[in-house]
Amino acid sequence: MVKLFRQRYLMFKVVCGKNLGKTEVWKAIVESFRMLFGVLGLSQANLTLIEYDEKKQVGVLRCSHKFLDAVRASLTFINQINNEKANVYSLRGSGTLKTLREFKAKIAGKL
Amino acid sequence: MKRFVDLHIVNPSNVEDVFRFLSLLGYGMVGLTLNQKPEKIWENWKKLGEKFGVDVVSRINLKPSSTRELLGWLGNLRRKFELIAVTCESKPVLNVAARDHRVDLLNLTPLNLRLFDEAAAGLASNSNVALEISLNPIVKMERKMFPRIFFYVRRCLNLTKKYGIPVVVSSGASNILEVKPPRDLAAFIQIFGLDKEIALKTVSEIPKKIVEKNREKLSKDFVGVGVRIVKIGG
Repeated sequence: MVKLFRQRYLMFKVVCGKNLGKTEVWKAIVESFRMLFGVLGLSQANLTLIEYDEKKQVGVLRCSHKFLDAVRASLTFINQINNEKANVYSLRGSGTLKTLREFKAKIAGKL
Repeated sequence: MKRFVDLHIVNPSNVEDVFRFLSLLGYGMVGLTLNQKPEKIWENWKKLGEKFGVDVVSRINLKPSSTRELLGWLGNLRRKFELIAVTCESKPVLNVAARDHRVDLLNLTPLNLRLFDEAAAGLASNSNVALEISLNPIVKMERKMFPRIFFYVRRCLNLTKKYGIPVVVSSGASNILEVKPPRDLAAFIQIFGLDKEIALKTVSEIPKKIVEKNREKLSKDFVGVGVRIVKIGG
């Protein structure tokens, strides 16, 4: 049976002067997405933060497959989090969480 | 060589860090803006770029106050830089820059995107000038300005589609906190109505073609369009 809502996982990284917490980063991403696409867009995208490594500042988002590029675009509009200059950018998108975890292990040294 | 290109890195504070980061993100070519610095520094930066697998393109941003000033600068600087971008602050300057074959990129500040109209687009379509959309100047604007700026960007992109003008998307970054990956830049321009394939071309094929064309013209073997010196002597 074909799923009505296919999902995509997006790995992202936060570059900032200080280590940011999971809640702060999630708040910034949601706020940026809502600013661009509104509450309706947010509901359609079904955006969720799956995991976030506070030490490496790397996280994984899950969203609807039709909104993957919209989520990437919303990350470009984040230039500060909690009054700290920050850069949030996507590393890789995938259909499965397993691929992203393998990718994360592969590039662990470069992060 | 990696296929993605960012043509607008502005006077980076730490060049080595920026090059390393750009290489990690998948960029193979970078346009670096310098303001009339000696040629020796360029050679050093090109060598540094090669160390990280990044091809460095010399670029200058001109910000003329009048058309006479622009034409004077173009005459002096065309053969010294691989890329010339003109930041247009007035309509006459925009029209002259759009019409001139020596200009590669039309760079407009977010609020000046309103200047790019049908007339400018018509002139640009005949001279193969590309329109450059830089991300960072837009992101740094106050949020209350976004609706107006997004309207201008969308209108510019509709005009480029209508007149067949190439579009280049760049980050306009000056440090690693402002650099974005190529797919994020492509996703940014997609929200204004561009197709995914064309959006990816704005950060890869289109800027690369501009640079290659200019490098060919600036090479010693170049005589005219389609004519090159192959051999000198008997």
